[in-house]
Amino acid sequence: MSGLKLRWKSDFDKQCIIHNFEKRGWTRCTNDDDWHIYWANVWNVKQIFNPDTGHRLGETQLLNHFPNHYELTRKDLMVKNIKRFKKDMEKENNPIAAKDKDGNYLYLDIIPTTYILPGDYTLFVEEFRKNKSAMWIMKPCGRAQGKGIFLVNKLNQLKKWATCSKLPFQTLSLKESYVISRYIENPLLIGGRKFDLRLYVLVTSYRPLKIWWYNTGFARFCNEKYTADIAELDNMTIHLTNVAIQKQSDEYNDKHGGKWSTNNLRFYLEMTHGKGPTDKCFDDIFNIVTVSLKSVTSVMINDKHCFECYGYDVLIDDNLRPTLIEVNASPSLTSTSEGDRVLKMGLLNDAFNIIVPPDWLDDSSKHGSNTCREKTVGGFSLLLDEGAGEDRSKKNSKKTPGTALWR
Amino acid sequence: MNKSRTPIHSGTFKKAVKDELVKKKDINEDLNSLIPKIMNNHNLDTQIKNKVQEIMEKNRYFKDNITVAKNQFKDCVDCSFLPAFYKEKDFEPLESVANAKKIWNEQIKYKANVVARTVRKPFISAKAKGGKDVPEVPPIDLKEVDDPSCMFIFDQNTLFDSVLKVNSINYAGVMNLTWGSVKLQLQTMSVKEMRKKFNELNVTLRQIGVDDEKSFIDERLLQGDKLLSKDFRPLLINYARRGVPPSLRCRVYKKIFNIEMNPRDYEYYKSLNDHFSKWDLCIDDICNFDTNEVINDEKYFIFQDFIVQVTNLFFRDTWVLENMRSKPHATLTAIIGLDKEVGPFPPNGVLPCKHFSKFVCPFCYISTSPEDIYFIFRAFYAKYICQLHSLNSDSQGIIGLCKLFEDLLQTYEPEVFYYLNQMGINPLKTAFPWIFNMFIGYLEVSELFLLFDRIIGFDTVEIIPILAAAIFVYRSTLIANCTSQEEFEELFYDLSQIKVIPLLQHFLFLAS
Repeated sequence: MSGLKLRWKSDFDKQCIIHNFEKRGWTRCTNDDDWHIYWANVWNVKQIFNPDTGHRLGETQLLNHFPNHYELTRKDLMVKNIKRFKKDMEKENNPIAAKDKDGNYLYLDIIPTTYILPGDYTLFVEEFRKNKSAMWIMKPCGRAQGKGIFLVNKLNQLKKWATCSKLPFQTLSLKESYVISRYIENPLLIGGRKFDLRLYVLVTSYRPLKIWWYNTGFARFCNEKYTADIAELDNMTIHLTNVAIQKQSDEYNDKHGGKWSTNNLRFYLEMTHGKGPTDKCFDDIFNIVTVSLKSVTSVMINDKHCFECYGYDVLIDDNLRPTLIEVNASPSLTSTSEGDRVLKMGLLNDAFNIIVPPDWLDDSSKHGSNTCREKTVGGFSLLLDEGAGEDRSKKNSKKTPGTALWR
Repeated sequence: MNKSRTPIHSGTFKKAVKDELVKKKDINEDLNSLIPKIMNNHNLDTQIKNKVQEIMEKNRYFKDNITVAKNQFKDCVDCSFLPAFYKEKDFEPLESVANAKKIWNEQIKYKANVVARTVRKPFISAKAKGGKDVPEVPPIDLKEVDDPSCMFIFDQNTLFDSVLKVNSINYAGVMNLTWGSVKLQLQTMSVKEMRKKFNELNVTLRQIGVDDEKSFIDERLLQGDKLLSKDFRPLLINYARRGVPPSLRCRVYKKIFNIEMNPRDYEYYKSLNDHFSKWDLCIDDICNFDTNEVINDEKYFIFQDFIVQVTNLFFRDTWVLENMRSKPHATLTAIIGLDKEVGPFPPNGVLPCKHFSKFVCPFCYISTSPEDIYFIFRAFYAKYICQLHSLNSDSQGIIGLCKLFEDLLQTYEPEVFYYLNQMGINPLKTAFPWIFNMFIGYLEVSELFLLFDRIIGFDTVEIIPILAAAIFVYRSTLIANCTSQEEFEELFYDLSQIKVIPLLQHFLFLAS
């Protein structure tokens, strides 16, 4: 390692975090503020940026979350931001809002039709009535690991749930809001099983936007064969791919943990569906990442101390069309198998190499998380760099290119 | 059950000519010149060429006398006057190997009986459907079996031991020409012969697996499409030598293996399934139990259902018995009562080695249809995999392949070989699992298919020990620095980063 001796703090007792810090020869600090880099949980991040605490981050401090990351990682806020971004892009005739001959967006259709409840309930009912045989999926906005998710194919199922909480639905002052999306009933099945993709993306700056894409992700497979049969609507081991849920299944095998590397997936798709469709599928995935991040650039607080490693969940349907399911601020760093361990170790190792390049402490004007000048670091490669070719000293005053329209 | 299909017969041809003549009211041209045109129009000439090539290939191009003689005297009514080797199936010219084969066959037969006793079932039995006639046998929990060696018929270790035991009877052993552990003095290819045979792998030619830039891949895709529409098999086989782009593999492999997937093939697949639902083979149990270990591999676990299905059906397919290039062991005959012969056991003439289903695994990547996977796997087994498990003096049998590996290692890196021998380490012991398993489970899937392309393109399994030797030569400096068995084993523990084609190219054409 480079001889940098930093102090680190972590809220998580995970092997890949601790090992990565220790092998760099950095020291762990338990003292609250005396750290250079802090791998925090979202609650502590909230405290740090809470205006009441009056906390200010030091020059040489790095934090693993942006202050208002929930604009992207909370399901309802993400939907809201993407919808707003779509409208804005269309209004200013930005090429990103281009449509095909059927009137469908070429680039901006990255999430399924989604409504936020209870606010959009009437809109939802209108849409529901247009297609009575469709399935919908209800997800609580603030929870993870598949908790509280259920499928809906009749309106009265929602009312049933509403009455369960003993309050009339429309006037519900819910402790948590829900999103309801069109359920993708035709997911791509491999070996008869449903899967989704977990992909890793590192963002070191929002304005200008700098996205790092990690070359290896994995597909999370359900342990049971997929069926859209209504009888199995309640069986979450068929429909939800979260590892927490799949671990409950009898078929769970910890030798592979139900995870298949995206390299093998891509090779399989090329062999069975052809190169063209496969390349387009992965290009569409890049597009999903880019559009979703662009949609929040205007609302994110671009604190230079912050970086964030997101876990993107993407579902591919049987036409090889990918859809964004959600973005996770704290993707799990637990390893479920040997291959998984290698992946996550490598992920963090390369991420820290980007955030703390060897010359990080040298030049005092270059602090923050976005000092890396390379285009590839380990498994990460630059997906988008809006600040490229710019004078670095002026980076804070420039507007994000993409959204400006020169008249 | 399945005679070799004739895609064309005289009826097709006559009909085509008749149709043409009927169409044309007046015949300007002479029939002699008309016929070639008709053949061309209906693509019949290519089909005839393909058929001829298939027959030639099946008979190994009539290269050796035994095949020629066998063909000449095929319809001979009274064979008593012919020498023994005309009559014997799978004749083995070398006496020492023939003896080894006899011992091996005995072992296999013995183990088959052991396995049947372990699972407590006869070789073939009707599946209980809750009918009153068939007695209910409680299924045995195979995890409870004490002796693990009862759970398989043969595995890579038993074959390895047999290979090493084969010894020339009249070999004085005075001059130790080779340092390898294979005692049988089979002749192996020289480096010059290798370079000639595998010329298409030359560094001067671009390859799929090395030069994967867009322009080259597009070029290969275009060429592949053109060849597929032309339908002439020898050209496709040649095309495979420089690698097949992944998106074309399914179609190219099917064409090369002459798999048409017409309704008859689907029917055949279905009939195999029917056989599976009616009859129980005692090897089904050990195969399925085995498969649970095979699918712990994170590359293949999703295809569990396909793997189980294909493996089970494979052992019921008599086509394999008729079309295998070499038989791993003598076919067992199933008998009812004391002497009533029923047929070969298992119907495909091959008993499974340990973890047999691992050979099916990579083929699950090739198509989403289980029928495609099945037919491609079965053809690949009949041509190539069976040779890896066959004890014979053929250059492509397991003994020949082992000898080739050792001779190559000795030629390229004599100091390393000598050093290993001094340390009491046998390099073949490390390389044997790679050869036996065709590198499945060791290489990444994409690399494995690059290897398969060449095996099919050059129509030989000799590439496998060549790759094994190439890996050793590539790491020769590291080997020379080893001081213990453990260090040596660590070097070859993980082959997942190996890039097959650059390694082969370097070994064949650049290393001195």
